[in-house]
Amino acid sequence: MACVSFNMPNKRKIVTTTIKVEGSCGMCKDRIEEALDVKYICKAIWNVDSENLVVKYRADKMDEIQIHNIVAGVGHDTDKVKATDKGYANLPGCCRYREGAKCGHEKEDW
Amino acid sequence: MRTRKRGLVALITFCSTFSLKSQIDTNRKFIDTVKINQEQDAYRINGIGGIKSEILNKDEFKKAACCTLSESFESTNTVEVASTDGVSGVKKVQMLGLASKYVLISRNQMTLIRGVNTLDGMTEIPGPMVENVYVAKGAGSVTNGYESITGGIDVALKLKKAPHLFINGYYNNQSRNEQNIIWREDINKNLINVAYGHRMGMRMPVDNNKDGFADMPLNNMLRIGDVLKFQGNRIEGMVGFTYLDYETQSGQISSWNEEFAPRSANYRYSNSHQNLQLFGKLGIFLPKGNSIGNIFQFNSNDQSMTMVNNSPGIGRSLTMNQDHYRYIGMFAYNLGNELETKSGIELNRDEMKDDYTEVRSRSNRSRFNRVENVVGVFTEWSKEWEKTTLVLGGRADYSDLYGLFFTPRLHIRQELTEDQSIHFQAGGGRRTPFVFAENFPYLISNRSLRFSDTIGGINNRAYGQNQEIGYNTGVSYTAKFNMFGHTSTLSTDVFFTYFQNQLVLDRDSDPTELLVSAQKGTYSNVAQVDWIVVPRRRMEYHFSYRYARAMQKTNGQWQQQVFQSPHRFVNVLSHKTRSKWSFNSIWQINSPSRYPNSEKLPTNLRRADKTPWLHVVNVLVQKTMKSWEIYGGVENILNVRQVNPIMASDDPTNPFFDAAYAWGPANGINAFLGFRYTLK
Repeated sequence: MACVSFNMPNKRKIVTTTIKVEGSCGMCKDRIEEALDVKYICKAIWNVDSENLVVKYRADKMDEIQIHNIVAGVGHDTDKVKATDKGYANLPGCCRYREGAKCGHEKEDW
Repeated sequence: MRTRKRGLVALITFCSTFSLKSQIDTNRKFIDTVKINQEQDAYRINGIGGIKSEILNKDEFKKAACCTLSESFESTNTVEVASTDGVSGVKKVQMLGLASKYVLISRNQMTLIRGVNTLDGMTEIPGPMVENVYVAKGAGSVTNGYESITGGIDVALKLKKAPHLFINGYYNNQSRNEQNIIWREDINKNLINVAYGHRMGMRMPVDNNKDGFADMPLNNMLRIGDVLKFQGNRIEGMVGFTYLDYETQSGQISSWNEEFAPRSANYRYSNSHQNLQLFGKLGIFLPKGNSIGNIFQFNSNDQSMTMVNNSPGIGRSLTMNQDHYRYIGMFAYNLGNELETKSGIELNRDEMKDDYTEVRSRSNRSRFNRVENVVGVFTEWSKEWEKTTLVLGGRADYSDLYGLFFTPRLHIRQELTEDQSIHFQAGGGRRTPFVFAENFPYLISNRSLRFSDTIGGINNRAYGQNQEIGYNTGVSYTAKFNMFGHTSTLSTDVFFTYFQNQLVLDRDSDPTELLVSAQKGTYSNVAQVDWIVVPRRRMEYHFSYRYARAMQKTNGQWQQQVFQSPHRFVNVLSHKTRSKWSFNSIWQINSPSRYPNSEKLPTNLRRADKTPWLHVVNVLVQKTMKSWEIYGGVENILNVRQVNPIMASDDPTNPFFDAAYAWGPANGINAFLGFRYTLK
């Protein structure tokens, strides 16, 4: 268990940080959180309204900038790293936050 | 459990010409535009459209231990599934506390289960062929007919999204096995063909509850189907067929010979069902978002069964034949300003034959034949304001057996905030009864069937009875909110169903009789709460509770339906790991329900007033690899067994012998293993 913190006096260092991430909707939320669902990241929750991403991660195993890079890689600007062109190009229309897109409700596909 | 597919699938939303959802969903801005199609949560409560619906997709089915459509509802409370009896293996399906005969069950908007296959139909649909199931409580839209009273279930088969090749196998330690194959061929860019094959078998009898009868019937099912779908610029449609051959044998195994031949059993039950369905759909798109839709259908059902006692020649046989023809033509017209109408005609022809023989001291044969032709016209108006959606529909039908009748339906959705909405709906429905098809498992008994009264002209009216007429109204509230950083959904609803005429099967008045009586004022009130929460990523918990009070007048007093639990809880916990292992568990709790009245039974056969609490727990583990999925699990891990689902099981000649005393599983714990191979 990469993230279990109790009884581990040695090098385990769990840090919680807040990162500003641009995005527009629930689909963006899923995309960001799913991209951060990797080893050594214990928790990643992005709030659509405040655009704050709260990340809890193992600081002894990874650097904060790696988190920024992951998010930028799937098309979202953070306060430190701008999204990659490829990542942004892959976003669906309703997630193109730079163009001011806002998703409405989830639509069903029948 | 959240699974999502990256990327976009551009979908032109034509299919919606026929779809229940779009018939009700007034979010028409989406038509003629490209729609984003994202793979969604396995189970969702959709409070967006004019009619609230619950959606179970193929990932939700994977939580269920097994395979058929009826078993895939294990994880919900909206659709309840239970065994009818301890012999036939038939599952009864209930919605809003009432039998599935009041539910419109369709496949891609075309009638799927109606008449002869009312009880067997859900078991005969293999889960792996299904992409999504949409469940809506309440009477629904008039464009789908006048027959639904308590709800609608629409099964969307895998078509456009079908894999090129899909193979599935399932095996359990009680010798049940299933195989499925789906093969999709893209002939050209406008034409795809999807072929389906399914086989299910159970070869070895099991008697875990030691009552001398096989817990599950031996069976053999073969189902094949093919759908050809075409899509052009202004035209889209499909033609297809399905064919089913289903044989079931069961009975007393204590006397079976070493080769487990049911024919040598003292009491034996056999059932043979063939079903052929031919269908076609044609949609034509006109400018300005208008369209014309056509549905053609032919369903033929032949089912025959025997319940025979070898030695003294007591028994009965039943043969049912049904041919059903249906055509719907509909014109959808967009008036602009978020106002649209759908109008059309529907033609129905039903040819139904029942041939029933009861042999006791003398043979008593009754035959019922009827042909019913119904012509109907319908219109539905929907209007959308900023926060309110209104759908108002009505239809008039003329039946050559029952004359002219009207069916009104109303739906209102009010958005309270962006994440909260209220739905109100009211409507009526009626249906011509299929008494034998709806009740045949209760004939696995020595009760004799009797109609308490008839309105005359047996061969002019169905069984000399009036149509069943019911009204339904309900309110639901849906809210989405943030909890633990993830979206949590809360849904509550209350539904009331009232019958102006209902055919009630009375098993209370006399333990040697099945009394069919027409009643006025029977009702069912149901309340349900669902809460879905994501406590941490890749983990989901679904809690559901429902309360039902479904009252009928049997044996001279108003009482709850037999074997219906007033309280029912379903808990579903699922977790997925990053390495694509998934773990699912389902825990169902049913509160005590009542037995049929036992006052007139001999004291040694009497049962307690109520059944005990019933807990059923299933667990399942699945590993997903690139194109393979392997799964295994344990069904009924607490090994709960009902030892006496059959009254007087030791002596099938006893006048009180009755197999329909089942309230829980008879076969106990079983383990299963399966795989799926998918070639995209």
